[in-house]
Amino acid sequence: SLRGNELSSGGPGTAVRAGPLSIEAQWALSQHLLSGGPGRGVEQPSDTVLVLRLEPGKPPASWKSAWHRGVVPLRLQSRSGASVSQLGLCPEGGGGRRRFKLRSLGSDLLLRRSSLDTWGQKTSLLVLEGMGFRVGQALGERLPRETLAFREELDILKFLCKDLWVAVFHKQMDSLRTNHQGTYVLQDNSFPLLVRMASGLQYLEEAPKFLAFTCGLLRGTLSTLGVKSLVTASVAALPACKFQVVIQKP
Amino acid sequence: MAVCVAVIAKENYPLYIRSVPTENELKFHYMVHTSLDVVDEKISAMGKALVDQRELYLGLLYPTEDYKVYGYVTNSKVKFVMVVDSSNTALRDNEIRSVSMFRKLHNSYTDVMCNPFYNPGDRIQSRAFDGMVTSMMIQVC
Repeated sequence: SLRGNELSSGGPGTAVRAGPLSIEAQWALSQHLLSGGPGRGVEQPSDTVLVLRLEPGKPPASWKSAWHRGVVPLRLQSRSGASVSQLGLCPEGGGGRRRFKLRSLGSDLLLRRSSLDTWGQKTSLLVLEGMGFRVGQALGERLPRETLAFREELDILKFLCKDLWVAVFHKQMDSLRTNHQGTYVLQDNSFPLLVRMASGLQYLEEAPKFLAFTCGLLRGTLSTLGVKSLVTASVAALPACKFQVVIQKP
Repeated sequence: MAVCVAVIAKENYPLYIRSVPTENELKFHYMVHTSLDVVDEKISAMGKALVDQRELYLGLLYPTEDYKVYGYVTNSKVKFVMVVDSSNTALRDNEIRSVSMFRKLHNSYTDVMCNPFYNPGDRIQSRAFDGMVTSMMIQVC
């Protein structure tokens, strides 16, 4: 039995009381739930979600909203790989009371906390950008042919807009602008990776993550050609997008 | 045929250097190292001359009594240096031969770069690259 947040022991089907749970309490809860079961393993608390089952007939909306308030999710996973929990937490009592009851419930509901999403997403975008960087390095070696035609930065950027874009996307970049102080904006009015997705203003928030690989591609090619840079992407309206390249002076 | 082949990175350290094993290898390493100065000089001279088309092949870097040293630079500032035996007259038309040999080196290096398991900046340990270099070097038995 756990003090502090008033968890007490019980097997499936037993109702226990629990207050709004901190991360440590949830971790303890997961340990507690699994300690009795045979062959079950537990993941690290930072990347686990609690799988809950709802009682049939219970409205999920009120339950979900209460649960979303300040709770970091946990995943309980058995060694066989199947995600399990026969126990769940549901709000008890009238509206406004934040007590939760642990009981065996009916159907599955998987919860994710939004902050967990952001952390996971940032890592994935970094990985994608890194992969694009490596591909860009290889392309920067293979594509420029025959001549050492890069006398200045602008030539390198023009090479990116013309040769690199044609080789990868079969079209040229639509416009290249610069402030002559190391910042370049490359604009593509119908970016091939976004053209098939949507058109207009609907998915503006989610679109930039599909450009992470391309940002890395640009950065990698620039790095092989001797230019250290920082590349970011922005979408004003699908499928038009802008890549901003800022040259880093050593 | 080449007596020594070297691939030098942008930061002037060797990514790959191999010479005919019967000779004193240190001598070749030293020759390659001193030739880097000449390479840098040629690159910077090209920049100032403002020619429209700059060649990747740098030509004869400098001759010694026994050997000739040729250089080639890529767009990513990776340099290839080749040391050739002076007494070998088969390379009299040195422009063409050296250009074709350096072209093969460049293509093989590009293939190594495109290998996703290769980290740029590491020593080159590709068997395909080794095989290509072997085919360019003298067979001294």
